[in-house]
Amino acid sequence: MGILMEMAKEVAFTRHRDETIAAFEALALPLEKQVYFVCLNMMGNREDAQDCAQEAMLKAFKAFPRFEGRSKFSTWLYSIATNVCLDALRGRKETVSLEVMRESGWEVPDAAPEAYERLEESERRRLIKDALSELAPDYRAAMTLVDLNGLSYQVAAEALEVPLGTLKSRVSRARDTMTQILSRQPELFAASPRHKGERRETP
Amino acid sequence: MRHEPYESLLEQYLIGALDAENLAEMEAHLNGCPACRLRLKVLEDCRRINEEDEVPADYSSSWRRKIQEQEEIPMKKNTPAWTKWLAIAAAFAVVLVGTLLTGNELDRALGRRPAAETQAPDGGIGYYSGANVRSGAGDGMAAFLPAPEAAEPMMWAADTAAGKENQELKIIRRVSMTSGTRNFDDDYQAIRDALESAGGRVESADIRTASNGLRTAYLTLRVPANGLDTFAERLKGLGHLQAFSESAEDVSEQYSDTDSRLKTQQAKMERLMALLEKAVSVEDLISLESAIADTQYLIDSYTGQLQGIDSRVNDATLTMTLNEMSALDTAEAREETLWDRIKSGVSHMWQMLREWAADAAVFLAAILPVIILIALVIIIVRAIKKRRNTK
Repeated sequence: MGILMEMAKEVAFTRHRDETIAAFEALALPLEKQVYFVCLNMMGNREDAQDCAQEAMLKAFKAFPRFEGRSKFSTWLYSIATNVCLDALRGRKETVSLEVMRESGWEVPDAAPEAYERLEESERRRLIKDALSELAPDYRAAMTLVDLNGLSYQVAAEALEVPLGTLKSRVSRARDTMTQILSRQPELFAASPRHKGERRETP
Repeated sequence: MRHEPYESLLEQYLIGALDAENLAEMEAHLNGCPACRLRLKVLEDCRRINEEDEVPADYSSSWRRKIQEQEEIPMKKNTPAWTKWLAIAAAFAVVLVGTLLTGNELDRALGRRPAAETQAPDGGIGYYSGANVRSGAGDGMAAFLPAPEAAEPMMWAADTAAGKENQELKIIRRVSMTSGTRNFDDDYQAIRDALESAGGRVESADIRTASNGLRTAYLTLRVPANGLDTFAERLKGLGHLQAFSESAEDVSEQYSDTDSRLKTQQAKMERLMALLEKAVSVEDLISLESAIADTQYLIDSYTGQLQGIDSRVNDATLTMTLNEMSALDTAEAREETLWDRIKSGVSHMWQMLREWAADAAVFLAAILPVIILIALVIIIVRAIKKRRNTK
């Protein structure tokens, strides 16, 4: 009798597991890329991004039976992913406080937009990524979701579990800081018209 | 310099949602405000920041393997009403006793379970109703998809059925399945053979052996999209299908965006080339060549992106998990027979019984101090009565 019970339990569990996995994968597979990119933008390098994205997927899966559909699955998954990243970033303890950048009276030089535009797209991307890593984690998260991954304010606020107004002001301040950091980049202004032979090799 | 009023204008400008009046105001402001101009360009770049990055090749297979390896998956219980009442009663008793006896050890030890029980809403998510994802019911696939995410595959099906004239539709299809097999080597080879005859290729293959000696293969296969259904059908016939899911992602918009960017750059290139013919001064030549190099870079990048999308549209992705099963498992895993159903019924009943017993034990343990207290009171009262009677 005992063996039969064990077998029956085994069967019941296998069935439960297969169903849960199939249901989870059906929802999560179309989002896996986006989750990875959110992690990439948050963490700034591929290794950490992959670790965090995987951890987020695993966490989401473990919590999946308790997912109650109060928010959309995608919002819920982004929320888990950003929280994993935020935890990881807190562990790093090397982030620059946003306060550092909030010196008043900084004006963006007149030539900055043109100088920025003159850079190659790949260089501009690299500059943005560098600047992003200087933002405080909460601000980085807000900008990552809204500006880099195209989530609406509403969805991003839900994912980060902050009120809509807080999120909007974080995004706005993150953008301020980002433009300030960028307009201080020396290479922005060192960039004179380039000759073809002088093109910078992008990594 | 105040930018707040321009923040939302800037966002609308970015997505091309401004009306003529606001557009004029925004452009006037942009002309005079380098900060906003820089902000706009940065935001444009932000939107495309991930376009060049690829997801690591082993990312998908490795998180999927991790969830497969999960030994404990919490069961979503459909607790009958009476157990809930019992749990509530137990919780009540616990709280009562806890407050009576200031000793909150008991409270802490028992508090979690009743809280979880009372809070759980019945039923919950839709995926549970899709019990037919499992064996032998391959025709009921994707039935468990909740509405918002399911919308896209549905649209896709409707569109292809409605008319083939819409050639611009770019759909990326993915199928994911899990099968169990007793003939692991044969079935694995059969998958490779089927893949070859379908004109597909292996993107990644990962075979692990568990501690019990049973193997699991995690395969990511790329199959020409038009042969995906036939191929998936063939795979379903191998071993014993445990789970199947399918999704379709519409990337038409992304594709046409990139395509129009490409066309813009190509047109720009033609103009630059025409200018180059006419250029006389060395300075002109140098700046033209620099512009041409930049434009060429963009053209290459957009072409690459389009090719990437095309490749994913033309070749669907099929992820397959093939579990080797012992003889015992395979006996269990055939089509559901009457015997299976009886066993599963008995197992459920047994589980319920055990849960009930556990709940009852909790309940009894919880009310024990109360009983002792009441018993004490009764004994004392009786003793006093007895003493009075004897007097």
